[in-house]
Amino acid sequence: MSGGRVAFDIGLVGPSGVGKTSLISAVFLAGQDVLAGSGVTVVADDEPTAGLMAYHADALAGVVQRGQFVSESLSASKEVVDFRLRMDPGLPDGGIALHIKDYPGGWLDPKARQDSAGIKKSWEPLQDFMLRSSVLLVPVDSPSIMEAVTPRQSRAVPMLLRLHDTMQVLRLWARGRAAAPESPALVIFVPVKCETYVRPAHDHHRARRSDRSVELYEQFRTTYAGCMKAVRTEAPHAHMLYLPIDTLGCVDRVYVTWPPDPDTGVRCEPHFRIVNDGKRDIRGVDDLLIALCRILTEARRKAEQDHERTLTEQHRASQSYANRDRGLVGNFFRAADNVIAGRIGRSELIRLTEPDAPLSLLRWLRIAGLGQWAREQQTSDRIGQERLRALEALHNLQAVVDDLAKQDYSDRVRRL
Amino acid sequence: MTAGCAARPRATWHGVNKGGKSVGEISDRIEALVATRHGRLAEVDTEIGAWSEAEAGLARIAKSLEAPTGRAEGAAAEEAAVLAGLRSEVAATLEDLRAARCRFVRPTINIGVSGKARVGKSTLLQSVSGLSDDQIPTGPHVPVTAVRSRIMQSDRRRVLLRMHSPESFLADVVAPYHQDLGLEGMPRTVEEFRHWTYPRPDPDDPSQHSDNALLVNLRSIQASLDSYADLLTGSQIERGLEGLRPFVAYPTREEVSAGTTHRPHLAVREAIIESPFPHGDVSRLVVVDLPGLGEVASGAEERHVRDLRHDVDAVLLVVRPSTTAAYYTNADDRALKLLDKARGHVRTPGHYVHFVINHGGESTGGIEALRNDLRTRVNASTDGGFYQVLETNAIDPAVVNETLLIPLLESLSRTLPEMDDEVYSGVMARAADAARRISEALPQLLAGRAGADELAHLEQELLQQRAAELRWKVDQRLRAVVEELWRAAHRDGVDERYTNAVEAVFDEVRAWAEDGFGKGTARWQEEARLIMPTERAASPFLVEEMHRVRVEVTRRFRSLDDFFNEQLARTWEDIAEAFREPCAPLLGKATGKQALHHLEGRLRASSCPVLADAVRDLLQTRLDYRTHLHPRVREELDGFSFEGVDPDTGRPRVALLAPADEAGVELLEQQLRERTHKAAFETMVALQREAVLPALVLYAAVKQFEDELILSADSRREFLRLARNHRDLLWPDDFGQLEASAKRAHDLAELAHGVGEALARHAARGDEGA
Repeated sequence: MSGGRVAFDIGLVGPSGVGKTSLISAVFLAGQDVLAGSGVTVVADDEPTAGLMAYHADALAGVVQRGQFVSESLSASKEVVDFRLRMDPGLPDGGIALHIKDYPGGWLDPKARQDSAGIKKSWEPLQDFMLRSSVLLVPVDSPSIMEAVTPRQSRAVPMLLRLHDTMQVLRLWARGRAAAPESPALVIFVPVKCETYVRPAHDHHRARRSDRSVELYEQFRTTYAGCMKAVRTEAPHAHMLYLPIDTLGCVDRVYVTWPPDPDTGVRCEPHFRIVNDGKRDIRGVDDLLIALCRILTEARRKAEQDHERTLTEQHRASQSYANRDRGLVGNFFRAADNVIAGRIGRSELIRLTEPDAPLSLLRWLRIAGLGQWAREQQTSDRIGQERLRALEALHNLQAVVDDLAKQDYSDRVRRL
Repeated sequence: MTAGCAARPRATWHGVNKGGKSVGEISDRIEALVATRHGRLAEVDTEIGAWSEAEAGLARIAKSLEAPTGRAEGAAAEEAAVLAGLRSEVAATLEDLRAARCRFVRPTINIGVSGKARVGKSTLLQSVSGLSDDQIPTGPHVPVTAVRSRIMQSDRRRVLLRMHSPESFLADVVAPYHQDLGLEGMPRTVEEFRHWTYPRPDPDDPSQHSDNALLVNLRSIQASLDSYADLLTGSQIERGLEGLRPFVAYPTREEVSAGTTHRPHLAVREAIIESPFPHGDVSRLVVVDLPGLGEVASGAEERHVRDLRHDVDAVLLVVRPSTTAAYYTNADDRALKLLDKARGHVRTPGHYVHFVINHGGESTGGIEALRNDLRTRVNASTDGGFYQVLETNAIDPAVVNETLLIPLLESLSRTLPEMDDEVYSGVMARAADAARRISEALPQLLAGRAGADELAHLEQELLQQRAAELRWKVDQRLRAVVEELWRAAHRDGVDERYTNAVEAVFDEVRAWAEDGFGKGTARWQEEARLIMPTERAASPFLVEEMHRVRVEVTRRFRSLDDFFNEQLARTWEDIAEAFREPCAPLLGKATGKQALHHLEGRLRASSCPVLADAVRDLLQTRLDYRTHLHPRVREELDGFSFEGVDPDTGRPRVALLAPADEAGVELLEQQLRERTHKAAFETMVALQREAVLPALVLYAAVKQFEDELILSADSRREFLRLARNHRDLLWPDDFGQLEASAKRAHDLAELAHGVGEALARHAARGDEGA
């Protein structure tokens, strides 16, 4: 924690084109909707992040404008990008910082890192980031696991999802978490592009006859069994969640083709059509925030306690200074300050005894020491007020976090 | 004379012989002789029948030994030698019996007249028969008689000429010359003989000089071929007695000098002359004019001996003194030795051969010299020691009758019954001996062989074994097919050929949809622009289009039937091949389904209804899109309609909605295309998820077939029937050998039975050797 904020590093583990950037964008936008009216909101914590969010939104709008698209219409990341979001309670430096690193999914492949010194150099800090992250998000490409029917398609799925590399990262992360069991550890498997499969009862835009969320979950369990086992065996205390997110919401899968691919045999290319007039309808981000909030609750409490202790110490220190033994004269003027302040107010006393105040007895008295206590007391009071405001904001954030943490997950979420 | 001839009138002779016996007595004896002979026919025929069967049986056994028997080569060779000996024995016995039969079936007394050329045989015959030179030609200085003639007393005057066939001519006339001359090769046809090149003796090779006479004869026979070739018919010609000479006699010296090539006698095998004899009613008398026996070619000797044994009761060996040779010559001696062979079982040569001195016109001295020579050299200096010697003047019929015919008949009337007894007992003893020898040899032939009963058991056991093996082999191969299908259905998972085929159809549908649903985008849009505004709504056009699209999607997916047909054909091929090695002949050259149809036919024809029905039911297996898959994907297409029901709200809804204007046309096309893609894709996925179904259908069908074919209660029994009905087709070597062995065993058993009966017969008669 730095200043008045809690910072969480959130790792992203997924192959190229799975929709990591779209997921972050969905968290950004939908988070704002979820927290609307609570006094807390989700903001881009720096200019680059704000720019990226705007760029992604524009790109998506352009794709949606065409009325239909293939999943690769939104280009994948080609370099490491830092996304810094913050749950802002209204304090400039307060809130909960969410630091997410996006990177080319191909970097998960050890061979790619071996073949490029640049990638290898960039991967090390990235890996460190992921390993110290309290939370790992694992985007799951839903069409790949749901639409693979033929043996050739099924054989390509592990390579398309980079399952082996993902499992290695999860295992490393879990071992790191196991070394600090008191620290939070959460893995969230996030099926994306699942608008066609996870279908609320009232949704009539998506031309599908039945909800296939159970099938999606079963396919996920089968496909990612190794990854879950790696986490469970290395860090039994870690939490794992299955949490599908509709990052767009306004699409429906029409068909899927499996064109040849030199590396994987075939690749999965779902073809979507735009529904609901292209209006973005993000679902599942609230569950994500709930999960984050739950894990943050305890961490926040500890951090808050640390912060409060720090402020309390500061106050006590300033109070002690203001009430120090000034000697006989000093003590006399302290008493005088107290009386005068009691009559005219501490602030007025301070004003009148400012160096630029009209020369007056009080100013002279200040020179002699009159007003010194009042000033020092005012400083102490101001710090106390700031502390109070911070406390209020923090309390509000706490309430929001607690409120979210207490909420039940939607029926889309499953504990693993 | 042949059996079955009508009985002739009672024989009578005129006169009284020197012994004072009346001709009537002679006639009575001869009648009794003939009756006795006929009485023996039944037994002789029984023996001939039995020995003919034995001969045939041995022939079959010998033939069966030509096929592989599995016995060691040495044992087989020994066996063959034993069989050859037995066959020779039986052949000789049969020859004996047939000669005896000819004797006993004869209603006449046949007397052969033989002797060197120029001794007066023909003159003698003329005197006896009353015929002339035209029928029994005579002539000075050169041999005359070329053809064996029989002269029998008859009310008719005719001649029956038995002609050579081309084969008998080559065998009886030409072949002896080739044999004596040692010529290589033998003409197989008359035309080959016509063009055959005969050598001329090399003057520088003395060893060939003695061949000249035979070569001259042979070339003259060849040169005169045109005069008789047309007569080589093998038939019998009846003609009058006039102009008979050329058919029975050599050309005259004048004719030879004139270079004649007219030799029709060469085509005549035998001449039977019927004519009333001048001296009384001698209906039981036949005289046979025999060619000079000492002069025949060696190859012809055996035939003459056989003819004599079959046809002649006694032989007159005519001798005649001449101014140059009054003695008993070597030729006479050779003739006598030949006649001795011909007497067969007759013990006393003198009963069979009678010398006749033809003294007509010769000097007394010569006659006496010859008489003494015969007495010394033939009769060991004792009158009538071994042979009777009669004297006559051949040219005088009355003298012939007095001095030759009557005494001869008297002698024969006494000796013929004895000779008949000797012949009868001789052939029976020989038959008994042959039976004993065969009986002794049978154990050797039967050694190491299974009997007929055992072979019958072996045959049944082998059949059962082969039937069981057939069932196992079919089962083994069929099981491999079933296991392969099981793996395809349960373990291998999806058949990529199937999923690829489905994906290919989806790609076709997509391309079709993107091409304006088969009409071309421009045309489709043009139609929409025309129809929709006219109807004032998009729905009429869309309704039709959606129906059309739905039907087209279904129709295209039905092309998967090509893939299924290929699957079925491959399965039939695999199953047919399971039957190929064990029972290829039952399938013929057909393959796949056709082969299985053949198999069904064979099974039904073999009274194997359960197996046949199993094949029939298998071939009726259906695997097609409409039956097996369309019901499973119908749901995907049922929703492809203009109007439907919202699955969530249950309310009616419209699938596509757009303004019926210009902008709406493109939107509608896009929406319809998306829905088509989606419906086709959902159908494809549904079909691909059913990818195991075809394999399951095939596995279930073939498994059921296997159960019915191999595991049903009737399986073993019907496989045995199939094996029994087609064993020679399926295992020709196995059963061919066994069958040959069984036939051999049967023949041996029959032979043993026949021999046993023969032994019993001979023992009952008291025949020697029995």
